[in-house]
Amino acid sequence: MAELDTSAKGGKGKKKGPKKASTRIDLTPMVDLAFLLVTFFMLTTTFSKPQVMDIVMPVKDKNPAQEQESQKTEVKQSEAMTIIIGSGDTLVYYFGLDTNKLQTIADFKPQHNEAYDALRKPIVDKQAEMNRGTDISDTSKPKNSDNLFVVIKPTDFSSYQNLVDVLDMMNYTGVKKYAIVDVAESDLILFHNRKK
Amino acid sequence: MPKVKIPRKSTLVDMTAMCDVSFLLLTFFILTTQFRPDEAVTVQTPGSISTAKLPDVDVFTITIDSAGRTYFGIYDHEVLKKTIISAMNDAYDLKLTPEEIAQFGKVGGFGVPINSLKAYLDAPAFERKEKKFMTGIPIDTAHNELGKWVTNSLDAWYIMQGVDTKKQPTVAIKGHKAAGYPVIKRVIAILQEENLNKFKFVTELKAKN
Repeated sequence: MAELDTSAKGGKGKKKGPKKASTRIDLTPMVDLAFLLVTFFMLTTTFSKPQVMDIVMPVKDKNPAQEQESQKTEVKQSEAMTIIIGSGDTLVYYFGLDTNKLQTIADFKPQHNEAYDALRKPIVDKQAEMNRGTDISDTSKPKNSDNLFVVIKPTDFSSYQNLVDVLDMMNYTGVKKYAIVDVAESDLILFHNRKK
Repeated sequence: MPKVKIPRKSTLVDMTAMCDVSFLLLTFFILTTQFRPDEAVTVQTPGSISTAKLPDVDVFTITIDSAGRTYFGIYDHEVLKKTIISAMNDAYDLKLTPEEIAQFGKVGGFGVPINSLKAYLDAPAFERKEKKFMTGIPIDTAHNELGKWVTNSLDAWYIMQGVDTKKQPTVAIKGHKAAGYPVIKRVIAILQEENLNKFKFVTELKAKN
């Protein structure tokens, strides 16, 4: 591929001097090498650091008997929501202690937007209901809807994906207070007796 | 009829411009590159809309794969890793040689029970990803080895930082999306036994829908 320099050929009237070496170099191998290295660095590089979601669990008291006395957080019935994550990407939720109005969401998977909306809508509606009659334009003041307390109860049949999806929904809808709580037997019965 | 002469053009192209561009790209990649940390397993994490990033230092990662096996990873700090392994050596009476301790300083993430740790460190690096060394760290209440790792790691970290440090180590749980909740619950319980109530779930970026 080397280029031949023809310009240095002696012309008719010109003197025959020492041959001028061409200053042009074939750069093709150099480009090859450079692209090889570029490819290597492109493949090994990590552009984006992984995202993280902060989780804060309530401090566990070493003595469970004491815990019941001192550390129970009282939540108003009108400000509580419970989500039970069951088996097969299905979850049920109810507000307050209104277990008669249990709602079921099936196929709660990232690719199913309808299932996401089915959980988002009741939360957003509840927040709107709590804010009714108050001025929410002043962002410096706490809103009534900040008091909404969501209890998340993942059962042993749920997957990690379900849990993260529900937690993500909390972040998305701006729920300030939520907790991951162990399921009780009554919750399992509720889930089992849900409307199908 | 006379032939129409097509002037022959050289097929040679001037490579200088191409060379310039490729070296520019090369420089960019060399400067921005961060080598992927060595992980015991690669797991598919669930998506979230959270935008917080995982820091590079002071991070201890507990990875949970789809089968529920757990792996422990310490961020890249050789001195700290050697302190941790020395503490584990004393706690379990592993009789590790100084070479094995030095080897541990180079390990990124691992998932072996404590009784095969010696064999794991003796094995050459390319053999460490074999099935026999990917059994996971036991987390059951009888052999809570993960808890031991976490305790010793945090102790070593606090000693290294000094008692009056304002910094806090980050403990990240990196679970596979298909991992079952019971394993996650157990890992969280182990962390809570160590009085760790704040930790992070590693997720992938997902578009808002």
